Amino acid sequence: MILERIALDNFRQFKGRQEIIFSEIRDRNVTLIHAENGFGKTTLLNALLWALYGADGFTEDFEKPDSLIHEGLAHHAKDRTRLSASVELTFNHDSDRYILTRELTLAEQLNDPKRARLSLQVMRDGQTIPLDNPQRRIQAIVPDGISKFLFFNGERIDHLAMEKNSSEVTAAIHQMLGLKLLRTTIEDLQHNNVRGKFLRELKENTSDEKRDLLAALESSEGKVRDIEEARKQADANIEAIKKEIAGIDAKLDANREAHELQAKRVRLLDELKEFGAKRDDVVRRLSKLVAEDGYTLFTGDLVRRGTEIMRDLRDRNMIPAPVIDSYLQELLDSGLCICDRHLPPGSEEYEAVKKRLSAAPNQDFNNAVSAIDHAIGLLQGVSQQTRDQLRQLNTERLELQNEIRNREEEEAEIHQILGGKADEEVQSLEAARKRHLLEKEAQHAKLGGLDRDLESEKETIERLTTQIKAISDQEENAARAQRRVDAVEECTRVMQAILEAETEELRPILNDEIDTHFRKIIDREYWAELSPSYALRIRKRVPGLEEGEVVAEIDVALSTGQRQVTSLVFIASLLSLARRRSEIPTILKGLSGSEYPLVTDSPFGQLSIFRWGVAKWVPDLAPQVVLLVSPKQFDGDVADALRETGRIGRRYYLAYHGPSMPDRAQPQLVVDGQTVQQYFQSNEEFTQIREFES
Amino acid sequence: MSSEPATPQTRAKQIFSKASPEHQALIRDILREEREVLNMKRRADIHTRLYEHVRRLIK
Repeated sequence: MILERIALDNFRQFKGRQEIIFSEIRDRNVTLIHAENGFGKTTLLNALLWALYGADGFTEDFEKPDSLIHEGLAHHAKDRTRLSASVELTFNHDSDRYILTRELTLAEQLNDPKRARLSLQVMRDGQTIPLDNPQRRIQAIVPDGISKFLFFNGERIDHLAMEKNSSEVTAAIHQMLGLKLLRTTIEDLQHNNVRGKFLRELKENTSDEKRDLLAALESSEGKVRDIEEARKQADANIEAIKKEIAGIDAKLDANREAHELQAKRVRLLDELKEFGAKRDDVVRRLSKLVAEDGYTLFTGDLVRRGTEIMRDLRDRNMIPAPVIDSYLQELLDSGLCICDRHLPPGSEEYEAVKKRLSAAPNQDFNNAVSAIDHAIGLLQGVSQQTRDQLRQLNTERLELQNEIRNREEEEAEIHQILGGKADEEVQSLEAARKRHLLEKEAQHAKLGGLDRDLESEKETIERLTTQIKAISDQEENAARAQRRVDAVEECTRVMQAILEAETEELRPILNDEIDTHFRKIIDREYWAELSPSYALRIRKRVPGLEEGEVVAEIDVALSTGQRQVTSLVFIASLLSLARRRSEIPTILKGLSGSEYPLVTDSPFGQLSIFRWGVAKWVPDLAPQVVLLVSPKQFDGDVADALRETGRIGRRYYLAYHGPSMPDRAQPQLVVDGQTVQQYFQSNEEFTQIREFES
Repeated sequence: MSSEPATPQTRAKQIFSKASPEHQALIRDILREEREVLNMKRRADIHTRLYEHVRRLIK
């Protein structure tokens, strides 16, 4: 999908017809839309989403989604059936051109604003052909599942790069790379109207014993669903608490009495994250060492005893064997002894040598002696090495633990000082902060308990399933129902295994893409990757305590800016793979490559030091990039970097008319030396889309 | 006589080929059914269809 044009009619503050023609030129693939906050950037993004998906497409921050028609016009409308809002989108997809129109009259808005009318036309051979089932066709072109990775608010995309959101990352991979089919099928097979129905049929026809087990299974599965729901709720609670704490932190930072200590606290908490990540890494290395080489620590006695035995045998000239059988055989064959005496067969000398031959060890014996010597030496070496490494890692762990404790104590001291301040606001903020922290810990503890319950319930399900399968049914109806349940389970298992295998095979390909994109933005000490559990993470190498020591690789505690960069890099990588999907092996037939645009609101907001790097690379994010930017985000690094790329194809700005200017906005906009009026004093409120003169 | 080296099977294909022919046929059928309605919001009868596929193939 490549966007050509969007035209808005009376959509929210966009009064009358307003349009944007997107740049489609490959070498100048960026369309920039400049707008002060409050002028209509978010509305513009939502107009696009509404055209594609209706009311279901709106972003979370889109206020009053039931009121889409320009308020002034709606207020004065005489005929509610003749006033409407509409969005018309023209785009290319797989060599066809489409015009999509969604329209809502005022009468419809008042009745049911979700019932907007939709039409989709395809243009072929100079003719426009209306298509049936327009929503279904749009879903096939750009499924709503992938829309959140194509059309989004850049400031809210950082959640992808959070450890706990790895399921969202795998969902994105499945959505963008066509594996959603398997995922949905698995869910559908497990549905109450498929597997559930066969289980009910089995229950109706089977023996009492099996029926009881099936009832127990049903109850356990219900419990698992409840636990998973409770986990989601606890996760949501933790997120909400974190937001509350972030809000309190911002207020403490803004308070003159608390500012300095709060800034110190932020630094300490960042350091705590960093040291925590290092300690976790050391603990991981310790566990690995103990698991792989720990046994060598208990081999001291074995080595000592082995060495003694070997020494004793050596002292007694028993090892290595002074004479081996092949040598004696050679003497007998040649008929000449080592002492030059003849050894005729049957002679006394011959028999004496032959007698020794039967007792002499062979070459394998001496080889075994060498192998034992080598093994004892090796065991001794590894044991010493393990002991040294263990000591060193433990020292490192204790040092890190110390660093962590020091910072925790400093942070606790800050809490004491802030809590004891005379300033009432500081006091109450600090008290609220503590309360939220305690609640967060309680929620984490709850999660731990739920995880244990989940594990135990899953064990019960496994046990019950085995017991149920072990009871064979005499009744044909029951036996058939059991076969059907088994078939559903087996198909689910096979598809789950296929889904995991296909996802796993995509991981290294995605990691190559992620690494390539990431290195364009962030310096070489770091790299980004998808962990085996599909968490997006940034890694770095740290030197050991001694010179020349093998460096360790650790996770970097991510700032919001780093998370945003990592999330953007991940999306760019998915888009890139989506384009060449047909080249990547898959069991699913008919997965073709598709191009998608990227439309993002405020992509540079939280980037801090990465702004320049991201702006320089942003044209490579997708075949077509549309950026909605405020002057505050754009001026400086972003403007310079984007200008250097030479990839800006078209440029617009939003001009706001209203009784007063939104806070912190400027009446004029200056972009690359061009000054335009962006605010116009007016009794009526509306926004116009204007193109910059090139 | 030279022959083209066979393309190595992906892990997914290996897993699929290990399933019984009956289950392979069932998986093919239900995937075909799902593909039809994959991106639809309302997929009311998909569960009935899957249920019928299992009933038809597993006697």
